[in-house]
Amino acid sequence: MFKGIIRFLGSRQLTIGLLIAGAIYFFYLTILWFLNMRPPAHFMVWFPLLVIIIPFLANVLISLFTRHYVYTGNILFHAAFFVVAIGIIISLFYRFEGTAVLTEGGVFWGERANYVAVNKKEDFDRLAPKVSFKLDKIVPEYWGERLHFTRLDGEVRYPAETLENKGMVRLNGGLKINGARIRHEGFGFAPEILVEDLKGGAIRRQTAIMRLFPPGSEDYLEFGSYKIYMQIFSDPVEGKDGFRNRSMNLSEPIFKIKVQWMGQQIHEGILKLGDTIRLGTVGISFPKVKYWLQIEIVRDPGELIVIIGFITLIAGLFFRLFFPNPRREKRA
Amino acid sequence: MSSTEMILFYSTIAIATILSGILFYFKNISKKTYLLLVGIILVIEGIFIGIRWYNTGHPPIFGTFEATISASWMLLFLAVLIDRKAQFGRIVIPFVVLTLLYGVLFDKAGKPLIISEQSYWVYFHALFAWLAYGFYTFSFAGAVLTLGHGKWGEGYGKEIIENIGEFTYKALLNGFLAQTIMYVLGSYYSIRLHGNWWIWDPVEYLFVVSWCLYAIPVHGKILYGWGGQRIARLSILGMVGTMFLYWSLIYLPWATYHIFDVEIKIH
Repeated sequence: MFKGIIRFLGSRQLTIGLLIAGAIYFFYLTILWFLNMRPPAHFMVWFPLLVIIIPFLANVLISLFTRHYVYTGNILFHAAFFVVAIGIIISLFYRFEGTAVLTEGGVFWGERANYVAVNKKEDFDRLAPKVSFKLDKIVPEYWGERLHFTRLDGEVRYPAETLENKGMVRLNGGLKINGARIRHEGFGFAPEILVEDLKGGAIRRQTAIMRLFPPGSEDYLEFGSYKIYMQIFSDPVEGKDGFRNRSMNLSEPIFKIKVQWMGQQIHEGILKLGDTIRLGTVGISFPKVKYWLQIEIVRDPGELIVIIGFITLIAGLFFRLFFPNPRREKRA
Repeated sequence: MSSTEMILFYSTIAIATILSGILFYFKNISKKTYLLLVGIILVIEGIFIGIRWYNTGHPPIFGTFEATISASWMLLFLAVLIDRKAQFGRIVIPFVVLTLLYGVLFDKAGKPLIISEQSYWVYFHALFAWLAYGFYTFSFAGAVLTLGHGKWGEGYGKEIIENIGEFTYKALLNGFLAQTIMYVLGSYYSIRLHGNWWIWDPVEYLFVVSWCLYAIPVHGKILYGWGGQRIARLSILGMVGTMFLYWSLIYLPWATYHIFDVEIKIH
């Protein structure tokens, strides 16, 4: 019976069957996507994938040992799947992925509290890379008036203790610190909020990271029992129907504000930088608008192994095509 | 698109259409005439691509219109490179015309690349994608001639048909290699762009679907010694799948990380 199972797992029929199953399975994922059902959800991804992958690896392994593959290139190509599989397993256990949100001038120390999200909370001390930096400046550039970024760079200095090195955080990578890859994946406006008492004395000054980008998007902040709904017109121009944006750039921005108290709207209006609205016994103003970046910090020791596997995959095909060196006579 | 670009682009379509007609009505067109005409179209389209590249500051990789330019140019390039006997022109050249006409339906204005596309990795990823597309199209053309040699392959002897069968298989293997390189380059760039070599995106699913579809005839030939007819049928299935799966994605409603439409939509 054992021999029968081995024979089945290494059979040519299973090879072809698994290729058909693979095509059907990924087509099924496409249909799910079309129905707006996004993986990964275990029942739709991991279970069927394992059902295909385990026999696939068994089929390849047995074929490697039974010298099913005629060409050296074929051996290399199929052995590469094991290298990729090893890389994936290492990533499953040792990949660290964390997200932090910083405004211009903000410092990231690499401590747990600096991350807004991490993939492995319980293993944080073991897996988190030693990364710290200061985000000096964020430089966005757009094509014309459109939401079409041609540049979005975060200028950083690292490590945060000495600030001796300079680097650039970009959407498509660029910066590596202590084996960790640092890139950004989100961007927006962060208005600075100044709370003053009736005599004009500052009570609190804080930068609020809000989802106000692209200009015209609405977000709110809570202040006691007040809710302040806000939209930013980054480069405003006044027309017949009110304000509109000339461009995405920050140039004398204005705020469209709606204030609710206990669910009732009590104020609506336009504020310029530094204008104050009075809420009870305090005044609130927005003296400045900064940018924020959502930064992803990833360290994945399996990544390199997967890449080596991929290179082996290509090398195998290359040898098969351009140096066809059959180890024994072709069966077919 | 500038007026020079417009003239060159529509001239490419016009001459390719005329050549398709010639190939359809005159079965015995000489190899020299064929190569000369294909060469002329290749050069005109090449100049168009060069001017557009200069004006936009990037190779034609951004959006469906530019994808169709690259795809059609690659088909012409391969026609000169691997089809010197003019055996597959009557199928491949209409493909060039259809690809270009499909591109006309989309925004033709040259635009600067958005950040995610600004990388040599993306340029080479696209280059190998179109190389794979080109080889698969030739494999498809060989398959059509193998299956329909009574009609499409009229005038071809048995020996030539057997050679075409071998060509179909080789083109398929070359396409498979180019597609694999395309995926690996894209995967590496995905690490830089998304932080992971694999993302749950329909374009990645469809890559695996098409990879498996093309792997079936490759394995069938090696393991079972499948012959020309069966390889041809599977090659056609692979091409139909690839065409539908790649070109149709733009019409589907949900966001993908790949950019087929240069008008940015917020989902």
